[in-house]
Amino acid sequence: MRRRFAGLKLGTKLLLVITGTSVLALSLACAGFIVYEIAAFRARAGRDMDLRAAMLAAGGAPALAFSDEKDAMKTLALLRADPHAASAQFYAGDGSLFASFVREGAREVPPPRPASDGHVFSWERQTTASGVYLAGRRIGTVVLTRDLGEMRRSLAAVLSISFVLLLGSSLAALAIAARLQRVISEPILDLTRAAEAIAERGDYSSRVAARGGDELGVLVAAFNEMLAQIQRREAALRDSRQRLALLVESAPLGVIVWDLDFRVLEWNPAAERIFGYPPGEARGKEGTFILSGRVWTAQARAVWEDLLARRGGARFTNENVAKDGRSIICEWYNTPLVGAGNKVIAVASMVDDVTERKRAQDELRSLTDQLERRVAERTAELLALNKELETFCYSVSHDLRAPLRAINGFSSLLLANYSGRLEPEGKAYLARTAAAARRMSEIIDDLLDLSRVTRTAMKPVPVDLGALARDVAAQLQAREPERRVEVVIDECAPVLGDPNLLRLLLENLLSNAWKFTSRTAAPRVEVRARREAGRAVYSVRDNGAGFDPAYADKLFKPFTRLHTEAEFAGTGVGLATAARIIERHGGRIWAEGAVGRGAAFHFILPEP
Amino acid sequence: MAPRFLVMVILALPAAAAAPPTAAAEVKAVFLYNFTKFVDWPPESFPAPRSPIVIGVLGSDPFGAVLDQAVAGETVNGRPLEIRRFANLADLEPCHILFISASQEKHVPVILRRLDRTGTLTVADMAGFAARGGAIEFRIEDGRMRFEISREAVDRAGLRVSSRLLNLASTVRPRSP
Amino acid sequence: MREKTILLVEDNPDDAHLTLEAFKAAGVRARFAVSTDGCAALKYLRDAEELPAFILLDLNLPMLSGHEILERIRADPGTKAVPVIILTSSIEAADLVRCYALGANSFVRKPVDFEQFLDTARLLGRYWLEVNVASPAGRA
Repeated sequence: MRRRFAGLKLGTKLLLVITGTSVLALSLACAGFIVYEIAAFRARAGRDMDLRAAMLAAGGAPALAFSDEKDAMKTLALLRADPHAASAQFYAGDGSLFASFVREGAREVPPPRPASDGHVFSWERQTTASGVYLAGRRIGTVVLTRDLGEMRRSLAAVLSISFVLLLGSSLAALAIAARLQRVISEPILDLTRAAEAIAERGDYSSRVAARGGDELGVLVAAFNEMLAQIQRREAALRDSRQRLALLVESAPLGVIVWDLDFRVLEWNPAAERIFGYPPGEARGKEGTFILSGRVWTAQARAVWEDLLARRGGARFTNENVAKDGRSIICEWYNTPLVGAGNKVIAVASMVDDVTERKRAQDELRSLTDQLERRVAERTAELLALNKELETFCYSVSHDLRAPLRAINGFSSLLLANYSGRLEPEGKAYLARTAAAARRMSEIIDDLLDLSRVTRTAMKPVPVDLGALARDVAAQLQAREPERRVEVVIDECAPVLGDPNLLRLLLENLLSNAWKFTSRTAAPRVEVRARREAGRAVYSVRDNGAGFDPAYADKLFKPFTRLHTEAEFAGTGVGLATAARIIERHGGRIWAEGAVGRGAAFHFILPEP
Repeated sequence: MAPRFLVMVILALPAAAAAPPTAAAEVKAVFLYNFTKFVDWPPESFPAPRSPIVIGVLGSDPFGAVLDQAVAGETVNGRPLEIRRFANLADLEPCHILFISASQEKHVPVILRRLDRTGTLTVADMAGFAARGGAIEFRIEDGRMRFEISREAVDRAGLRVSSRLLNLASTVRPRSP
Repeated sequence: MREKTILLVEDNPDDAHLTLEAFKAAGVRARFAVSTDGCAALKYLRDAEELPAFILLDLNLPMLSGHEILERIRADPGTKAVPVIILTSSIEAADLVRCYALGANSFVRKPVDFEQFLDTARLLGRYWLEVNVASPAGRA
């Protein structure tokens, strides 16, 4: 039913709705009227019958009291005057029928006695039962029956009038609705016709004639505006599609779109360049045609399933086959195209031929591997050499010193015990022999220092350089108590370093200064600390012999001497050791000086 | 004289007890009770507002328990009903309704004279009772219990009888002019 | 008073000779027993009537090294109280640490310069023969 209504034309629907509503309203009004009529009649009839029953009861009470049926019948016979009264009965206190009156021609004689007092309505009649009382005591019951023919007749009249009224007003409503519905349905039909025309021809330039300012007018205006928007959108879409097509056509990467069965939907010129298949040939093919061996590989399948399940597979490198059978390495960037309903509708791939790049990378990697291997070999060799050097140094300290000790010792013994038997010249030779041996042992010690600086493991802790310098200076002074050297040492902020090595550093630098001021009139040695460009710079300065700045860079090389042995004794290893210590701490050392005007050694150390 | 009187009394009582009440007696008992509803007694006939309406039976009692049952627990116009029985005129006390048993027939003139203007509704089932000056006389008509009312007797007793009761009476003896 | 004995364990005859000369020149009055290897030294300690006042022990020795000899001396209840002075060319910190750990009483580096050696000998003799002598009571 509802479906059949939905299929009707708009005008018919409106007609039906308006007419139907009118008929329904009138029907309800009539029904209400009739129901009211019946209820009112019943109320009226009830009151009427109550009155009659009361009258009969009053009249019949003495007759009942004295069992006088004749008198009772006389009372009942009064009903003859009432045309509606059909029958009336008195029942005695014990329930037995006492007296009965039935109108001549009544359909039924006498009706059964009701179980209780009150009114009972049927279509045919109304029955009323009421008590008969005497001096407050119930002595019987009166039952009165009334024929409802009159009510039925008046009801029939009301019904027929209602029907005529209903019919007339329905026809009137139909006539009015038929005229009015056009006012509403016409504009909608206009819209419908316009929409159909657009759907058939796709012509968004057509418009619907504007109407008045009611909702339909607004609807028409909105429809026209919608058409205008669609027109603009379509133009924008066309442009966008064109740009996209150009982008795909001219993209340097191969652009391929696959359907969900891994068949080619789109194939751009770059893809043709990479794989050798023109678009016309590639479209519709299953993707295995560019897979190596032209079959699904486990990797390709996994990537494809991941893409469809949107788990990943976005980027990977794969070996593919070109049309001419060449094996090529391709880098793939894939993305599932997700459409409405969050469903994958296709897969887009961008592909680049990276065969050459891959080859170059592989070469580079093999070279790197080779290099690393070589470095590892060299490192092992160096470690072995280092071990050897350590052993060598150990034996040097032991074994080289023993003969030197013998040379010096026996020379000294000769001088001490046999000086009487030697010429002065012989004594001098012996003294020089002993001195040479001593010097050589010093050189050995210095060399051992140098090598230890290189070999020993560093344990960096915060070190107070000032305190260390004062300690070293005190040692130097103690070694040559007769010398007067002015020593100035600044307070220094702590530096991070190995305390043993830093002591060796200061020993070397300060003993150097000590040595080169030995011929200066007012020798002065300073340890200075200052900040320069945010870093602490320490300087050990003297006013001694100085050096030619041209050789400043040679100072830190072992066995480099800028002065003769006769001028200043030394092994030429001390500054090299100092430089090596600074180097190991990751710091920097440089020298400054001029001949006869003293020297300064500046260095920077890491700070805590 | 005295012993004889005694014998009569003795004889009378068993007779009353022995005679079972008939269906007619039952109807008469109900009628006696119903008369109270249609008759107005002068107020001075009641010593107090709640004093009972007294129904007396003079002579041999034809009702037995039936009369007592008919009035048991009933009230009329707020007054209870009381039954009193009198063996003879000598015992008689004031009543509102007095049923004179057939056994007293020969004493009727004396009785009526004695009750003249005492506000007593006299009832009997003797033929010609109303004609002789009684107020209500039971009689059988067509096998049914009916009654005659003497308006003269009622008036002389100072009572008012409802017209509805008069309507039911088979005969109404009119007032004396 | 009898002269005390000093046990010198030294394989290098030059060093042994110079050591004896140095102590003599330094004026240390003591008898010297010289062992050229560890076995001999341990044998001497076992057989001697009287334990030496102290032992001068070289580290770089044939067969048993100085460390091993020191270890055995300290392990033997009869000799463990004898002072042992390590006399070596080594200046390796590792050697020094190890010797003290094994119970050496002193670690002296052999000076190349004879004058210094002489000073060293004088100091050692004075200390271990005169200053640091166990009291008769302690000896008992």
